[in-house]
Amino acid sequence: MAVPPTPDRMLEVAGLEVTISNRKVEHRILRGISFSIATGEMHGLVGETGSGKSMTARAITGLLPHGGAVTAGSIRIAGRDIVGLGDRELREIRGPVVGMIFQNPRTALHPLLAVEKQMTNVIRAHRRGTSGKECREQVLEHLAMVGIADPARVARAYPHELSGGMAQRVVIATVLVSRPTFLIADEPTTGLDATVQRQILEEIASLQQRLNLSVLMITHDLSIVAQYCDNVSVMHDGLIVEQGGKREIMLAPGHAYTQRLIQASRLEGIREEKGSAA
Amino acid sequence: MASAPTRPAIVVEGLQKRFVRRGQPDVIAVDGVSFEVPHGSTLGLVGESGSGKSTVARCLLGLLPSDGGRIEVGGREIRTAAPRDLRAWRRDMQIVFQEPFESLDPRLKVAAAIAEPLLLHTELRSAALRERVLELLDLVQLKPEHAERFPHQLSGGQQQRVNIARALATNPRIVVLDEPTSSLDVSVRAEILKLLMRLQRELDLTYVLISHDLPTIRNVCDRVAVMYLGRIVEVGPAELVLTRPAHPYTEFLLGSELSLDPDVKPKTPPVKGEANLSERPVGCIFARRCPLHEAACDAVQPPLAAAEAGGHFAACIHAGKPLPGLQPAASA
Repeated sequence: MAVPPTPDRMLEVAGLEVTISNRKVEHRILRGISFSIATGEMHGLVGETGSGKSMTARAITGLLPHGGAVTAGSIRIAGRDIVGLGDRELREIRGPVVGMIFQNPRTALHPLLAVEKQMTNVIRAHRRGTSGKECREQVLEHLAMVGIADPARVARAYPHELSGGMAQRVVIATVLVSRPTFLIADEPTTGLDATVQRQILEEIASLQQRLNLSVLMITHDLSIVAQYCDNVSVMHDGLIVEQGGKREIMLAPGHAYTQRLIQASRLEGIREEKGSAA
Repeated sequence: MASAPTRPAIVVEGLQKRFVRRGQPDVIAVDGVSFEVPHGSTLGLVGESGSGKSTVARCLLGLLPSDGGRIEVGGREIRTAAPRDLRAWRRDMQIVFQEPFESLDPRLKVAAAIAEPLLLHTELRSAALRERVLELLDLVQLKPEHAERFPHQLSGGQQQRVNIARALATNPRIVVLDEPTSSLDVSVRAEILKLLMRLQRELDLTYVLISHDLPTIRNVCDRVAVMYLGRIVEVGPAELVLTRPAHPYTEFLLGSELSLDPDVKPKTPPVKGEANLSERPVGCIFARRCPLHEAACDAVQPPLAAAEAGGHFAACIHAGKPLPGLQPAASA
């Protein structure tokens, strides 16, 4: 903590290595990655299965799986290096500073509690002694904030009564009650329908603007990067192979892997394979 | 492929399917769906959760009993046929599912998995069976050594190739592809689609492709049917439906496709609200969410009507007219 925080950088990852070991075998999952996110920036972390993009998110939130450890490098969130922090200190960061949204919104919600109850639990975990009336006001306010037209009805609902899109909105609202300034979204719209995906991404982009959030958008979908992110890091095999502004990466990719990924996303060559159908 | 057979490979007319729920109103999953699929072509069934596209596919395969309408495959009416008459039809019509790993028995090696349909439907045994399995592996570009692997020893793409080999084992003429690439990585998706296209060309297969992935639909389909809450709201040649959508829902669906080019912004604003299966209005099922909604939309469900020449139909009273309400989104 000797180094003064640089206020315009929400996240600074430098030379990060993560190793997972079980008994004899050691896997270097992240092999020295560096990237940073400015305050108010949406940064895309793109890659395929096994590239290490989700492991990066877990390292940043101090939620590495059993046997996983940061073996080199640093992770600064709002200027504070979180590597080696204990659970208690991490809890001061997770929630009030960093909010997380995952792919399947239903797994993030308690199946037996109504939306209002679980949001109230989160409010009281962060601000003990908040009155019932105040909790209720905050629940409704945050549900409205994420574009839910009928907050009172949704507050009474149980997770299984919500559609996938609505459940993801509830998760985002729940994350926002602890007033984070940095949002990590790990494939937040994978599995949602196209029109719902568009709604949720627009909502995240709008919140980013209104609340001046920094966002780490983890995705396999380059079109999300092209449309919503400012900068992008392309991951492959535990390394960041290319990094830059989204226009430069999407329109003039320099690395062969990025080029392949964009080509595959365009589904080039499939029409040709089809030939002349009946 | 030279002379097109007169009768399409699949004819579906007025298909109905409802799910009965105790103590609650029935869910009308498929409500009067009609379409044809010519031999050797690909029909894309596009739609979102609850649109009924997978239910249509399951009715088509006889995996679900349907409640009304006609299904004709290869000139035979099969919806009401007796189960024992359906064996030959099952051989002719196969399906590839979305989850490649879940579709395979984890305890069966690849060779055994591919042999299974052959043992069921053909007389092939021992050496001949083995030979056919290797032939099928080669067809889907897997190597002979893959035959001795278990599903968990294969990548997602290889698993899906095994599923395709299984589906093709009985020489079907029709294959239903239910989101065949949606759980695969981007680069694998392209490879599997290429394989499916080559197989269609070489084996003269007819495909019904269920997908919500617009780039896939755009690159693979000859005709497209857009489903919304159990009905086909628009149908026609892919190049017409995808470039000149006539139904407002199709326009929103296509407008939600995100371009890989950062300078190409989405064409429409996000659509309001969500589809709700428990709603069955008298009039148009999309009216509640439609920016073009007017009183006439609530009177009767608009039938599919020609939107333009060339077999392009849409179920909208505005079909064929320019859509005034949907201005292209101004670039930000």
